[in-house]
Amino acid sequence: MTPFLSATSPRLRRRMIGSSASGLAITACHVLQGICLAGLVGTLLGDTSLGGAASPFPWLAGFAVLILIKGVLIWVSEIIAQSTAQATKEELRQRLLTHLIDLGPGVTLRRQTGDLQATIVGGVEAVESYYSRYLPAIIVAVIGCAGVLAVLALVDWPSALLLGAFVVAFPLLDRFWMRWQMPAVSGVFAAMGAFGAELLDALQGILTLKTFNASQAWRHRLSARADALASESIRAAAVTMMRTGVTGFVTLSGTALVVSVDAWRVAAGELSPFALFLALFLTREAFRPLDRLEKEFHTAWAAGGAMQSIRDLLALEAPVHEPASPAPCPHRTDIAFDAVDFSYDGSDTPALSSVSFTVRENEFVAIVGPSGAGKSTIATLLPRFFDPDRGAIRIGGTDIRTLSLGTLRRLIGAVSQDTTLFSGTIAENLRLANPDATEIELRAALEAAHLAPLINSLPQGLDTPLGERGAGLSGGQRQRLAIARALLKDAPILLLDEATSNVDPASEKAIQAAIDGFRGRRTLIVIAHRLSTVAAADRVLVFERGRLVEAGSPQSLAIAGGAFARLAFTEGDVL
Amino acid sequence: MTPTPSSSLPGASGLFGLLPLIRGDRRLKLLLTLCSGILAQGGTLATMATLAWIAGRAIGGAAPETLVPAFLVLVIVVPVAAGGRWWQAHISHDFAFTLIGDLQIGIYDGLERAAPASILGRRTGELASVATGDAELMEMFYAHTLADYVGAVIVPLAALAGLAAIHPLAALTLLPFLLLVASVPAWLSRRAGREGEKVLGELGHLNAETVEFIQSQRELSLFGRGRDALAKLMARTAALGAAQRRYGSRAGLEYAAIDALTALAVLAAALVGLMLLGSGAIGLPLLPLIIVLSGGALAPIAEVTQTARKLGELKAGARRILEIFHQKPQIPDTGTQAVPSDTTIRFEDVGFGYDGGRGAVLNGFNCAIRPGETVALVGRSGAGKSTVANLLMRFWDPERGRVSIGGIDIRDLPVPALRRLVAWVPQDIHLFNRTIADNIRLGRPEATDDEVIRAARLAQAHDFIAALPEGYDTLCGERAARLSGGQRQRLAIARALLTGAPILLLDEASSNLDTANERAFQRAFEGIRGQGRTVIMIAHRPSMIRSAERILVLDSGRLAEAGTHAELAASGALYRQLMTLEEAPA
Repeated sequence: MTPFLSATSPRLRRRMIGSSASGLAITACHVLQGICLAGLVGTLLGDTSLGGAASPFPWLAGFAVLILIKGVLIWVSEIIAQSTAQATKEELRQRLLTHLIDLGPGVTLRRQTGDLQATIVGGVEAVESYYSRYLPAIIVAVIGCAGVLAVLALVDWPSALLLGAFVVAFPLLDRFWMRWQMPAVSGVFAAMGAFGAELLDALQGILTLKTFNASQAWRHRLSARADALASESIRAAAVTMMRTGVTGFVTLSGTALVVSVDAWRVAAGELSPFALFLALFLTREAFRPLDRLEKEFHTAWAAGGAMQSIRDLLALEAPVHEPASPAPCPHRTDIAFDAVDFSYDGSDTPALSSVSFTVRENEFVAIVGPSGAGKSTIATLLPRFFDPDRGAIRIGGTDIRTLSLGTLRRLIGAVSQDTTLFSGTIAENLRLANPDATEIELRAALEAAHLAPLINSLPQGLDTPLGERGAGLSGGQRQRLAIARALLKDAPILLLDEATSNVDPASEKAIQAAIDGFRGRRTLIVIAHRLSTVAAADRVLVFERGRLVEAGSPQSLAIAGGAFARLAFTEGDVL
Repeated sequence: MTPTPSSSLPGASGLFGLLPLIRGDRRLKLLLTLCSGILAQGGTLATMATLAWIAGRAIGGAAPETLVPAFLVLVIVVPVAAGGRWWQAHISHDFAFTLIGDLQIGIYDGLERAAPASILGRRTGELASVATGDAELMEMFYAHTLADYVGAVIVPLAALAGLAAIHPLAALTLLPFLLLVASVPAWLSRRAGREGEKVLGELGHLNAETVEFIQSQRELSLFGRGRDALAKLMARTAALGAAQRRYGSRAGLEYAAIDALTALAVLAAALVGLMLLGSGAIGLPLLPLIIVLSGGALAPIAEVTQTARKLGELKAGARRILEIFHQKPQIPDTGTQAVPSDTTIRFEDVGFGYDGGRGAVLNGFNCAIRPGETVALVGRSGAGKSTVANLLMRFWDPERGRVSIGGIDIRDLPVPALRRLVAWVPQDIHLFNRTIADNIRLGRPEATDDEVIRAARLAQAHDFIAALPEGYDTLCGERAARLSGGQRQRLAIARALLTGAPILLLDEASSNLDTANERAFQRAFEGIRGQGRTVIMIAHRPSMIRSAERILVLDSGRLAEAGTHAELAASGALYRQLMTLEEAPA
């Protein structure tokens, strides 16, 4: 377990020092309480080593004051631990989220949302205890135990020496045991995790199992696996569980031996009763920080998996970087792909191979091709979610890698097929594109996106809250909201991914209207699925298996009888 | 009064509600778990008591040799206590591991009985992940926490008995402290509950917004708003942290109170002991014993109150598990009739409503579907299309009227026989984390490879399966082949075809298919018609609807219009309205 938040953050370091200090102060209070109690009893029994006639009241008062101080300290230390936890989590989340932004949508959208979310929320919550509890507990264990032994040594060094042997043996044996048994236990936990996943899979498909008369057969198999797993786990765990017995034995036998030896010495007249009482009350204190550490170690160990996933996420390299000295924003918006090769990580087949084409300023270009032809990869490379493996992409003659990401992305408006909306109001979702847009501008954009009648019919109008991920709107309506957003952004280049099928007529009209409105005034690239859209384009680029196979006006391509003609013929109305 | 977990910690009862579910040799294991807890905790207390007694004797001036019998007691008690701890860890894990297996299978059974009904307002698939998590939580409770509770009852009782034997006044001194310490979590329990809920609520917000943040990366980067979204999430983190700090500061107050009370109890015991010593009521050797017993009695209770903060979560988990265990089957499986050879389907005056007072979904629904016919069910959402399918599959039984196949009421058929007659292609397709071949074989595990391939070919799935590097042995899980929606749908069709069922019930997904998949699906659909198989589809796409031999238009739980596309396009007012998809304001 290597901590990835090194103690470089002063905010975190201050808190961890505070945690350790309050932990040590609590240990000191425990020790002082032991001394006071031993002193009180010793004085009242007339222990001569304490000065004979001494009054019991100072001991009593000391004890009472310590109760108060310790209570406050316990409270404070819990608050410090919480505050350390808070600082840790803020620091870690800030780093993870910033890293996600740097990685960009190219990387994050190709991963399971659930995994990322688990790392950022649950993972960070789990790891926090490492900093807020485990690390301070180590410091308290080391310094605290040494302190207890030192106090005991001042009164009677042989007792301290004897107790010290056991105190040192405790963590040594524990570590030894854990190292020896850890692999076996980890194996059991892995097997249990695998079974849990299998059970979950079956439960999520239980209706399918039921309708195919398969649920009883699966139940038998699951039940047999569960039984086998339980007995396997027990066999593996039997030795590990001995650890609790071993540490218990060290604690109890250490305490028993020290007190017995001291009692013998008192009985033989070699030791004062005060020292015996002190040994009786302090041995427990010597083991207390170790007990605590053992418990925290358990939690910290359980966080090991979360640590790994956080570390893996942080180790991902951003696919694109900001240029050191960004070029100025180009004046023209013609686009050139120049011999572009690209493959996604972990894929053997190239998504694009030596693709070259140009789109003139304010031209309307339709991109067509079967699924997997590389159409959406073009829409991914243009805003630099990834960089090409080879070749270059230029806007207005400037290589987009030399532009700052902010400048580049301000040039591009996009409407994708699956638009994500936030769980804010409709107005808030629109203002994402332009925070300063007035209500009149919002309404104009909605009008242009054929969404105004719908929004106006809502009781709360623009202030209608959308549910999680835009729930409450149909797919077509969401796409129209995305169009309104793109209109508000008013970028010189518009990338539009037309929905494949099954779009309601109003949404289709909205897309048409957006295309018409931008036509000749903006550079327009449409990933097209509809023959009507394609027929209206200035030029069509036909892709197949990552290659540009044909390019030309729709009319000329239809006559040429190549790939485009084949596509148009087989698809009928829908491309 | 002795603090018992159920009385001192409000609400623990939900957990103990699970105990009746423990049967057979599990009971013995539970009993042994309790015994081991007593042995471990009692052994520790006995060790400390013996030591205190030895110290008292030594200070009282006993000769060293007279201590030897007590040393011998230690030689026995210490290993017994340590062994008890080990045994406790072992047996409680044994018990918990077996129990978690029982709970998991019980959850499986309960969800199987209930599906597809929702439980606790959640769909079964959604509940599955919650329930398996709950079962694992129970492992923690029974393996670790339960024995601590045993200790928290037994040790104070034993200590109290020991003190009473020394002198009743010593026991009376301890008693109020016992009650006070045990009641600490109850002092602020309402605030604790409120604060706990606040923490969970904030965590929920953070989760939801993190998902949004991840899924909207494209929009955020294109609009250059990533930093703003980051700031919003960090504000959420801070809000969660603030809620957790409030919760933690209250918990810290409780620890402080418990610690102070324990110290006060020790002080009181020391003073009372000294007083009794002064009055000659007890001898000197018993003084340290009184102090140690008083301190030792409170330690296990303090331990338990620290774990009490997790109880709310455990209790909720136990309640969910119990709810699932108590699910009754939706329908009785008592039919004994033989399977009819005629597969005419009839709905006769069927009335049905899902419970919960949502009103009737089907109301006097009548229709007959001939063998070999291809029928499309259409209608607005809520018109009752899915309910027709649910009743035909006997997920529920009608309230009025009857559903028959070949003239036999389907309630009179054994359920497995009915489900061999009707194969189902659901809208949400679940592929199990097994090979593609296993997934296709689901309804007929004994099918040969040739039969599997034939079904896949018919469903237009063979080509894409064969193109995968591992072909039919490709795993369908999350991490393995990522199949598109259209590919999954065709696998589900192959699965249904392989069963050889004469009736196919197809719930078409309303989501988009890309063009290649759309065409493949059309071909698959052509392939499965016209082999004497009855096809009933709940259709959304105009092309699918047009291709049916007969279209049944449902409206408010009744059959409103029926006929071919041409007939309905000419005379069906409702059908025309549906097909033009005129948008009504949401």
